[in-house]
Amino acid sequence: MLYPLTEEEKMIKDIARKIAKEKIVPVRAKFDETEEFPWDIVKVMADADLFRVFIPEEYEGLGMGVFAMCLAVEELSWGCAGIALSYAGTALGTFPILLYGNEEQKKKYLPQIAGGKIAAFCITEPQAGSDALSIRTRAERDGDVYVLNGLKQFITNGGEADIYTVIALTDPTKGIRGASAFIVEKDMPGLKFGKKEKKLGIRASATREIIFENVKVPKENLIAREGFGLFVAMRTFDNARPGVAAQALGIAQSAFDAAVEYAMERKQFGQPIISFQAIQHILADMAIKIEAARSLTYSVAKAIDRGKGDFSKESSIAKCFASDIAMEVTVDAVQIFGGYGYIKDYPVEKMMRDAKITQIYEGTNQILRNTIASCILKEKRKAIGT
Amino acid sequence: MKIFVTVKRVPDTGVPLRVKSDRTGIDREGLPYVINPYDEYATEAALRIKEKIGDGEVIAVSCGTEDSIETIRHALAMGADRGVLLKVNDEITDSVQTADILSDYLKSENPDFILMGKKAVDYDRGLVPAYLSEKLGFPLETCVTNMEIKDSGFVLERETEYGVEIIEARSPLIISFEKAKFEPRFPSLRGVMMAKKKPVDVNEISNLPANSTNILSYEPPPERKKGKIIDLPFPDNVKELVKLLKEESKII
Ligand SMILES: Cc1cc2nc3c(=O)[nH]c(=O)nc-3n(C[C@H](O)[C@H](O)[C@H](O)COP(=O)(O)OP(=O)(O)OC[C@H]3O[C@@H](n4cnc5c(N)ncnc54)[C@H](O)[C@@H]3O)c2cc1C
Repeated sequence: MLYPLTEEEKMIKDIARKIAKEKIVPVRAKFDETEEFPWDIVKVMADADLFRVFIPEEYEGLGMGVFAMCLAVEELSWGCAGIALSYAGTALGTFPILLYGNEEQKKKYLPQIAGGKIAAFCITEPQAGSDALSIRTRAERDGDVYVLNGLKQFITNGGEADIYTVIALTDPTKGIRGASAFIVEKDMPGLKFGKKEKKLGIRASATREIIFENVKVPKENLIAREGFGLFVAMRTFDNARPGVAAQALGIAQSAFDAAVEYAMERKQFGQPIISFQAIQHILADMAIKIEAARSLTYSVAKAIDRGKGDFSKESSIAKCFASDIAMEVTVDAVQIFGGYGYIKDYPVEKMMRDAKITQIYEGTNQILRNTIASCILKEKRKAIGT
Repeated sequence: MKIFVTVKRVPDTGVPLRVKSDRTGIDREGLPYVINPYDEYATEAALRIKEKIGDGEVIAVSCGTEDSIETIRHALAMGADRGVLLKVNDEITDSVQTADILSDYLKSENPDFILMGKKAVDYDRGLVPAYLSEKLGFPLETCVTNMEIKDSGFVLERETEYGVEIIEARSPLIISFEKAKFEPRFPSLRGVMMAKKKPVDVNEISNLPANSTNILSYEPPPERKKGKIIDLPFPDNVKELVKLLKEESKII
């Protein structure tokens, strides 16, 4: 095997694939159509302990980290990237607590997530997308509470999640240096949910506006310290981006598998279309891209599990590459299916729609290229000592 | 309360089986194996009994070769407490032999319930529950599709041609399961990890009981004949089709 897995890692992959195959694939077209939230499948994932994978053992998890989380996300996304996002979005929402939560916060929230309560991460606002530094949501200290006011946009798992990690300004005079991270619970008064967005792809995922109207958050729910919000957000993304890469990888693998199968079955000019070299080369290119993305994603995820430090560049590279190839591979898969690829009775048009989001969220691929370039410049400057 | 579940390792039903060229058996090379699907329902039922009464022990028993430990581990991962392998050196194809081995073991174990699949999907004979019931002198309910645990006892459902039979059941009893109305649970990650630590006793069966049947040879199913396309205009094509169905395939 190209990627040796420990026995535990193999178990995670097998269970996630089994869920994808038996529980997700049969219903993915239905969820894509209805845009319902897949609670039944979330329960299956929780019962199989998948939410425990990225939670430390002290908090009722299995303590396995980012790589194991990526294996689960990849396999679930092989079934349906939208349904898988209920899981991956929870990991994103959990990272702030996992990385910078104090003991009390971890004790309170991580076991809930380990047991299958889902989470969400909230930074984006209508005017602050790529320019996350221009967020306006306010968190004003008032005695023992912070009072949150503002609007968050496009929040994955919004309205469904029980636990929200939110970036808001405690000191607007300092701009983003005055941002802080908070844990907000779904039933805190004043927390409201706006309309559920209708989307091109990942339609089984819930994306909602979140409205804060004088939400009183206990001061114990401040993560790290005032002013650490940006830092918490950046490190959260560094840890979570391999998950987006894994999601992209799962979509690409699924499209590739479907394309190979179809190319062997579909006959034109008296032979299966896979006998045409033009088709074979498309498939070979798809395989090259997928394997390169997998290799990159796995090695970055494993590096994150091994060490501390700054992974901005590597995790951005993995996310960019895997999401770009997922888009290419799914477009190619539709091409191999020909007209049938364009039709909803076949699975690949959905994969093409699903793939697109992976180039957009958790930093658009343009913004991540900016990040990668600025890391390169930093390294270069450091090397030449300027 | 002691609840036994019998589990068997069988070839994955998703893959086509091939008869060996010398016709002495199935070609097992590279075959993927699974727990017999009907046994999964039995295991789920056993776990539900235990969970409902909040007490008792679920023991997964398999009569088979060493590899059957994998199958026992599957039941343990679902939640069974311990396993017993009644180990034989070669696969047994004789139902009486299997039932003898099982009853030899079970009769000294004082089971309250023995839950089984209605048949194993490899040889499809479905005789073991009946033989076992005979040998142990336990009553047997076959092809059960649902089970409810009430304070007063167990209520079983069997689906028949005429409707659903509802049966009140008490221990000791053997129940064999049809594809049930409930779903067997997925083994969880913690379950799989814990399963590795749960005890599995291996009882070597050195003296095989006598067999009642001998399989002489296996015949591969006849190859599928090529389809026929009736290339005639309407209504001649329908007439021709009816004629072929009557005379050639004798379906109508
Ligand atoms: C389905 C979905 C789920 C999401 N889930 C979450 C979530 O859970 N939590 C959360 O906080 N957010 C979430 N988001 C928000 C997402 O991260 C943002 O949409 C994304 O960061 C882009 O922001 P924007 O949409 O405002 O686009 P803009 O920032 O307006 O970008 C528009 C275009 O301009 C380009 N661009 C912008 N600035 C630059 C620049 N400096 N250089 C080069 N190009 C640039 C972008 O790459 C893009 O192509 C989600 C979005 C979607 C659609």
